[in-house]
Amino acid sequence: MTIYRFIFFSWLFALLNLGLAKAETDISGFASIAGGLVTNGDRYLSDYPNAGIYDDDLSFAPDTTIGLQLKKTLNDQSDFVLQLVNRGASDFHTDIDWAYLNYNFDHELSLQAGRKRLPLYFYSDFFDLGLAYHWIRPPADNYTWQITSFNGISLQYESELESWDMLLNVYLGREDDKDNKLLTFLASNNPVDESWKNIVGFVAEFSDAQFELRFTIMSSELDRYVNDIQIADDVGQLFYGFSVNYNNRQLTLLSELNHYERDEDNISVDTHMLSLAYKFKSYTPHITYSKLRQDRIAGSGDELHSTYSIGCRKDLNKTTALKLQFDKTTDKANTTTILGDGELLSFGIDFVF
Amino acid sequence: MNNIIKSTMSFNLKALSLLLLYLVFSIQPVAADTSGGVLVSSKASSIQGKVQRKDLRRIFLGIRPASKYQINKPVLNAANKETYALFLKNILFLTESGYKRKLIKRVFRQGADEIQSIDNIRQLEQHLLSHPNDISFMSKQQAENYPNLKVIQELW
Repeated sequence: MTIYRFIFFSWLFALLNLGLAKAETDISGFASIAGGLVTNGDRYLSDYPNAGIYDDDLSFAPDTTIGLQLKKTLNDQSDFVLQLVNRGASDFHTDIDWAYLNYNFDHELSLQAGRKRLPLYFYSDFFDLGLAYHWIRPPADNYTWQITSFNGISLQYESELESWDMLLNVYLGREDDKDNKLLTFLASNNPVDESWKNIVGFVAEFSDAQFELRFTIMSSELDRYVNDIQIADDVGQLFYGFSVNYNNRQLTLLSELNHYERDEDNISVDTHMLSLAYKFKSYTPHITYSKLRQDRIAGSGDELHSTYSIGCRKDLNKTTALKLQFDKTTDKANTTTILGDGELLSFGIDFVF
Repeated sequence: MNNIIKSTMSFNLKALSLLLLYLVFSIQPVAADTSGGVLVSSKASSIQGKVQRKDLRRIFLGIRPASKYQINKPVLNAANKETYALFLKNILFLTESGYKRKLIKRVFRQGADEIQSIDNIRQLEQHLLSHPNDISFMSKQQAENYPNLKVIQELW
């Protein structure tokens, strides 16, 4: 069934492309077609937010994504952006990740109102855009958040500071997610509804020719229902993270540190990631280590898993890349193992159009 | 046994450190500029005066410039790899892979317009002639061969 949906949406996108082009709407898109199988272990969770899981049979669903972006310029100062995404992990159901009205006050300051990706982690707001990074997917241990988009407003200031490009972003909003994919999976498929209310966040990014620095902080209140029974009500949560990346013509070093806490539940989660890549002509071999640690608490337990990844990206041209990757995950939690130890071999092609 | 493991780990760390140092210092700089580069548009364009370098960088990154300068759209000249690399180095202060990554992120994160790239010089000339207020760049020497194009300013 899923393959028929995939073909259907591919044709729909093509037809939209033809029809809307005449209306002078900018249309662009991206896709990642990825396959893989577990080479050691039973199952492998490769994509936490969408609960993308491989088993020991070759599968193309967990990491396959196709996205279509429509942009309509309304006047010199404002435009509307819509991004529709189909993910294999969600049975190729169409999600609206971005749908916002953008208003430019001047060349540096702009306001967006509507639906946007929640910019928690470094790769959060381009998590599905495989061509922008060297992995098949960003390191899973580091990207374990259950709410990926929000409805609200966002103020962006984009300028230069000496030789650095600077992006400052303040956002406010809320997200209500029925049958949240990750939490429902973790709760043994008991339906979990999750709301993040009063979201307030700030992101600062600085980049020059070689370095990228990013700081992010977000606070909100959480409501959670399992099987329609409320288990969390207005629980405060705080997330902050820091990334430093180094890129030159050949060498890339990526790092990311994040912390998440819910004081009321005594939950404290630390994640980190370090990745090294080196470009030889059109080939980019890479190696990555990522880890998540949640200390043991009464009533919930601990979580401790880490992954070594090794892989290679081959750029076919400016818009297409092939990828091959091997991941080895070790799950050492005493009480809350996710899917246990596992090894995954995956491959894919990423392109934009 | 523990000592053997420790000494092996220590050796691996040293080897990794040496490899990193080698990779950092083995990077070759871009070839020196000899011919110079210029910003061009069609002779029929209404673009007047020079474009601030800061604004030119913003235009080619898909970011709104402080002034519009009557410019419609930027077009990347990918016909000459050396000129392209020098443009990235001297105007955008980016490597090719860094620029590509920034552009893709801007399009799909911030809804920026895509920037067209043309890898044939004749096609680039035709494009500029049919889109008079679009801009591109080329080497000084190359620009002299296209009398229907005007040089807006020298870039490097």
